[in-house]
Amino acid sequence: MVLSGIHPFPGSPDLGRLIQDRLKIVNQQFPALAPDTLDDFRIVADELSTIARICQTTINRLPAQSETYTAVEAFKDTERALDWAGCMNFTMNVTSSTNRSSPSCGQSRPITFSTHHSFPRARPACYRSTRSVYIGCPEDSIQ
Amino acid sequence: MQDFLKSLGMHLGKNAEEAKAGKAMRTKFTSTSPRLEWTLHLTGKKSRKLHEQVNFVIFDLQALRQTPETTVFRVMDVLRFLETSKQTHLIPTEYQQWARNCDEYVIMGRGIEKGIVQITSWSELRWTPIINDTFCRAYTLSLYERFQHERMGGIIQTECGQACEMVVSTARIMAGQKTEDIEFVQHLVHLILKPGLRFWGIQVSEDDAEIVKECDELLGDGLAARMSQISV
Repeated sequence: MVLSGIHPFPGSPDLGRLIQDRLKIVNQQFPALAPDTLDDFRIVADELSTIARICQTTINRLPAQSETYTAVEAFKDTERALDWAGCMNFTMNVTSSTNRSSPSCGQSRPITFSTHHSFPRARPACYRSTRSVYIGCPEDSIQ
Repeated sequence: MQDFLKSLGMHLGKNAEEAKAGKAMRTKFTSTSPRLEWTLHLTGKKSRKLHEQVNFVIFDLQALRQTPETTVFRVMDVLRFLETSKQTHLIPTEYQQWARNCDEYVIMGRGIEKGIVQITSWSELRWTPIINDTFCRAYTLSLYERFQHERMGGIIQTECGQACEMVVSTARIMAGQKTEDIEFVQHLVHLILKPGLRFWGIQVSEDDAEIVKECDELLGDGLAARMSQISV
C-alpha cells in the first residue's frame, strides 16, 4: 500500500491504486456513481471482501509454490485473480438470470444442442464435437 | 484471464483458422447452441460434408453446471463482460457475430458426458417429417430462411392434426430413449415450433399458438392412454 503524497514508480505493486480502480468500476453501476442504498453499500462491501479474500489467498499460495517470491509477483497474481473473479461473477450472474428464457427440459432444466462425430465403440467414454474437442478421454486429455 | 479470452477467441474462429492453416485445431471448449433448428441444420451440413455419421446431441445445462470440473459459459455474457471492461478487441468482431448468431454456449472441463441427455444420429433425423430437402441443401440457415420466404423451397399445405402429428413424431425420434418422458418431448415440440411451423415448410390455416395447443393435447392424449393401460 502506497501512502498518500508518495507517488510510486510505474509498474510498482500499488495495491491501493488497484483497490481504488476496482471500487470505481463497482461505483459506475450506481446511478449517482456512488452507493445510495443499503443494498448498494452491501455490493461495495462484498467487493472489498472479495479483494481481501483474493489477496489473502495469493499470500498463502505463493510461499507454497516457490521459496522465492516478491511483492510484484503477489500483486500481479492478485490482479489476475481479481480479473478472473470479475468475469466469473459477471457471466454467472447474467447466465443465471437468462436461464428463464433458455429452452428447458423439466420444470427449470435448460437444454442446449451440439453436433458430434461418432466414435468407435471401443472408446465409449470419448466425446468429440464437430470442432474436434476431446473431453473425457484419459488418453486424449486436453490442456 | 487474458489466456482464457485468447483461447475462447481462437475457438470461436476455429473453422476459419482451420481453413486458413489447412489442418485441424484443438481447443479447450465444446460449442453448443440453445437453437434447435440451427444445430439441426449444422448436423445435416456436417454429415454431408464429412460423409460419416454425425450425431445431434442434447445437453442438460443444469447437470453440466452441477458437474465438478465442468464450466459452461454463455458466450454473449462473456462478450458483454468484454464490453463493460472495454476489452472487445480481444476477440475479432466476426467471431463474436458467429457466436451471437447461434447464441453459443461453450462447455469446458472434463465431465461433459455427464450432461448428455440424448444422442441421435443424423441418419435417423434426416427422414423425420419436418426435415425437407431445401433445409438439407441450403448452405446456411439464413439462406434456407430466404428460400422459404421467397417460396423457393417446397411448402406442404396440410391440416392442423396432420401437422401436429409431424411435429410430435419428430420430437419423439429426437427424444430417443427419453420418448416416454412426455414433459421432455413437449419441450422439444415447443423448440421445434419456436421458429414457427412455416419455417419447416408446413402451412396450415391455424396460427402457431393453436398448433402448440394441439400438439400439447396430442401428447396429453398419449399420456392419458398410457395411464389407462397402467390402471388396467
